[in-house]
Amino acid sequence: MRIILSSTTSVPMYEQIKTQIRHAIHAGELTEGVLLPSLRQLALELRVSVITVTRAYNDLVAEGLVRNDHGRGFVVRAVDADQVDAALAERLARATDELIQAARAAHLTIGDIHGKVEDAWNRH
Amino acid sequence: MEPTLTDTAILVRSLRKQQGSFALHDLDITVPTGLVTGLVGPNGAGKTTLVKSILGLVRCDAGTISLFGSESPTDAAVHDRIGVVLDQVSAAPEWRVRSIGGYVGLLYRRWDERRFRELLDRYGVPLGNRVSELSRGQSVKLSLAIALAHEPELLVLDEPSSGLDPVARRDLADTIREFVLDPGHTVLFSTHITAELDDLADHLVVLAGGAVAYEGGVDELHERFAVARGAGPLPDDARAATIGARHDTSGRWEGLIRTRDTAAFGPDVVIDPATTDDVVIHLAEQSRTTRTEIPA
Repeated sequence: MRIILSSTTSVPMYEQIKTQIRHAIHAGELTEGVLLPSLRQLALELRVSVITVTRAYNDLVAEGLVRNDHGRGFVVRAVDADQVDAALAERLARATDELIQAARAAHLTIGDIHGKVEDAWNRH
Repeated sequence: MEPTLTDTAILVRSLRKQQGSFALHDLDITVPTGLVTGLVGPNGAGKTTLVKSILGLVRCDAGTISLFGSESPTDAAVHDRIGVVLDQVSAAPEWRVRSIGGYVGLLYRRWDERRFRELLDRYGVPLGNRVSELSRGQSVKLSLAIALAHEPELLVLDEPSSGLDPVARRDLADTIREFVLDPGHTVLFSTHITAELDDLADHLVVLAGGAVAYEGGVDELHERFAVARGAGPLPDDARAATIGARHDTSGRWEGLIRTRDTAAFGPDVVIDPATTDDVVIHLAEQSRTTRTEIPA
């Protein structure tokens, strides 16, 4: 898992860390039982404070994605397939909304979008 | 083992110190174990006096300072557990860097000469130079190497970053994060460059006019405060909610507000998240305008 933080967005660091770990869990890159880097190790790697990583991890625990295995560290929990589907559907809906807004602003038709999406799909 | 949040490396209670016209009044400060605490405030706010009191380098007039739960900072056993970086290197100017361990090492029960050499090598401090020949950046790095070579649990740094270039500042921050990889290690870091604390400090103490203007988590500080900017006269309730407002000659003003008071301000007032700098500037302004003379 590679976490990359932006220092120019208004999204707080802990939120960026949380989102990227959540995406990695949903995508199956981080699977059940995987031990996350220790709070202090990740803080050192990302050049953020310990409290920032603590906050991200605690939020992931509250979301049920990770558990705090005292003495061992933070461990990825089994994912609930329905919950992942719901999260992915929501992410897709958000991206679609953004796409449509951008397309409307550029006066594109649904046909133009189809074409662009298809091109991009084939490139990836 | 992660320390619990109640573990305290430094506990200051009702500290008083009069020094000429300057005074620290009844300071209460807690430096939690395992975290980085930033001590910020304008020049003359009392940061160095506080740091020196904690280290037992100046005697306080009243109050108590406990380090690791023990109430005598001058105790040799306590001294062994603290690494210190002050504005001057604790080595004679004519000493050569390579021989420092032979002298300074005697002052500590644990001195790891190999670690000392390793740190000097990593920081690029030339071994053959005399202390007096080192640049500001190299001096800070030498101090840091001395401080870390005796394996302290608490690292106290007074304005270590002033005069350092961006590369050296980043190296310093990395060293501090590496030091707190061990959850039993604690850092107290004073600076007037608050921006560098944003991604480093977990806990913050803001001093203004010799008193504590804020103490708490860095994230709470950003949640609790915002900056309001406007022009023209302030309605009474908005005035009451504004901390340390500063006015310019064209009638514009800027002040710190508590996030929960946002509703007291009309739509023509701009409200932004507060940076640590904003908090220091306006808490200092507040303390300056409301300061009462402390009898000597």
